[in-house]
Amino acid sequence: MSALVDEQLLESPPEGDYKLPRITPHKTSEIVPWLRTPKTIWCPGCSNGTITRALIDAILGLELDAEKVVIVAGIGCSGRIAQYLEYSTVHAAHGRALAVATGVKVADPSLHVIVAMGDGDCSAIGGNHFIHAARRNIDLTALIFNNSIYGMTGGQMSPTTHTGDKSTTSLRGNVEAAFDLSELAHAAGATYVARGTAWAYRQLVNVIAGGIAHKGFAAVEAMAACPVYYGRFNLTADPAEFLKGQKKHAVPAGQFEEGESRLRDQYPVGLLHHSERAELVASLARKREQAQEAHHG
Amino acid sequence: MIVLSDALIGHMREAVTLPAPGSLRIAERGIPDCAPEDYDTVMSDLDNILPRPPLGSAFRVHVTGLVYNRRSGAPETGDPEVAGDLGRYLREKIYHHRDAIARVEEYEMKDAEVAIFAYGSVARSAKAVVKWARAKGVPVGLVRPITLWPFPTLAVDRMAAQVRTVIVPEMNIKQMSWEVQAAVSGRCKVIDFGRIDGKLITPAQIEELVKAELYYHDWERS
Repeated sequence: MSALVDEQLLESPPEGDYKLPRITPHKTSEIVPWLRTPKTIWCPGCSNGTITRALIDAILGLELDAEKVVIVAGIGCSGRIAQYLEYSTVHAAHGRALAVATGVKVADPSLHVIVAMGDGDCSAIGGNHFIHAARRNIDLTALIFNNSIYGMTGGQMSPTTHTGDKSTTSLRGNVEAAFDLSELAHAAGATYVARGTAWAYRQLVNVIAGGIAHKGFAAVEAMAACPVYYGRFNLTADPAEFLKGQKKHAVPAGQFEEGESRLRDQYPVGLLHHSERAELVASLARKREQAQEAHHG
Repeated sequence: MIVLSDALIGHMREAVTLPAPGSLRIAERGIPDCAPEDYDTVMSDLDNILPRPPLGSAFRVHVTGLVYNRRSGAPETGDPEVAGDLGRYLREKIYHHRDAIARVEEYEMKDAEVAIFAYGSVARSAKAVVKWARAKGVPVGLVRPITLWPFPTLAVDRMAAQVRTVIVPEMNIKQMSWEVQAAVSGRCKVIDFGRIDGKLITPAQIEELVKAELYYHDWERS
């Protein structure tokens, strides 16, 4: 692991009695077998590789049966993760990853279904799937790569582009307000909501692992650095500087104070919300049993 | 597969009989006859249908809508040769199975002299007209494509060889009648009737077309 990782101790105090898994990062030689290809389409300095590694680290750390892991991804830079990971993978249509994943999970509840989406894929094109998956509390882990912009198509503003930020479609500054995806997930009913950054690698692995281990809908927002588009237009085109910016902006959830600067200059990281309530697939199974009993009894 | 619907089907309320649980056959794509590490998407003896293990198995399949190398299964969007190879393969797969895929209902077609070619909600009106005509002793039949693409060429060929007129009522302006015209290629007359004013094509409207075509029949007395 790089020296940067050891600097990352941004754990937030867990809410209630929920304990985030503590995963020890794996060696590169242990990670590589879970990648289908050494080549990606991601730009130099992009955080998607870091987040991909964190996901593999979390899966390995939880000692999941690899045959039972299914990755469903949407469209966009992050959507390409499906073709890079050596698990059963689905590259779904734009915005529809959660819809496909819902079908996969309901068809075979024994699977660990992890859904990788970008911020636009998740909250614009697939916004309805996102809030309804959260409302239903279906046992999926939504891993959202939030780079605050549409990267693959050339840096257009997305629902997470902050007010005033520049993009190729907001040259004079975005006049719209940005979604806080974690709070959106919480408001819609997600029972596990956590945020990590590409900068704080260990914490990112742990919040992803916590989401996979959680029984119910888990939304994990991974703040990604996009130096080529978002950074070049707004913060910095230097990937290392971008990550250092994340270090400055990310505040452990327990120490975060609400204010106007939320999202743009400061955002809480770690486990943000956790609760327990009926999970969709289990509820469906119970309902099916009741119906069969009523029919045969 | 794309399921086409329309407003009538969307609003329709009527009794249906669902098949008993477990009575429907689930068509599995089959498990490849090899070790997972040797899995190759082209290894297949299933009549050009590639085996597709389920998600969550040792085979670790990748399902994608992108252009992919059909030998390795890996997406390769930048290589025109790979894209062309995949495109040709997908085209051939559909083309060689088109008659198995294309479903069609032929109703009262055995001795029909006039056929109504109608799909979707219009087919309901058309079927009512066939019943009305048959009650009057007039040989009218219905060809109802259940699959619009691949186009049910075999059924259209049968129809074109048998009837002298095909009436194509559709909730479009000629999209389907052009297809029918091309498929019958002059073997019979094609009459189109389109409606795009938000109202449905009624049996009475199709009846008028049948009457006009069979003008020599004594409709008043039959």
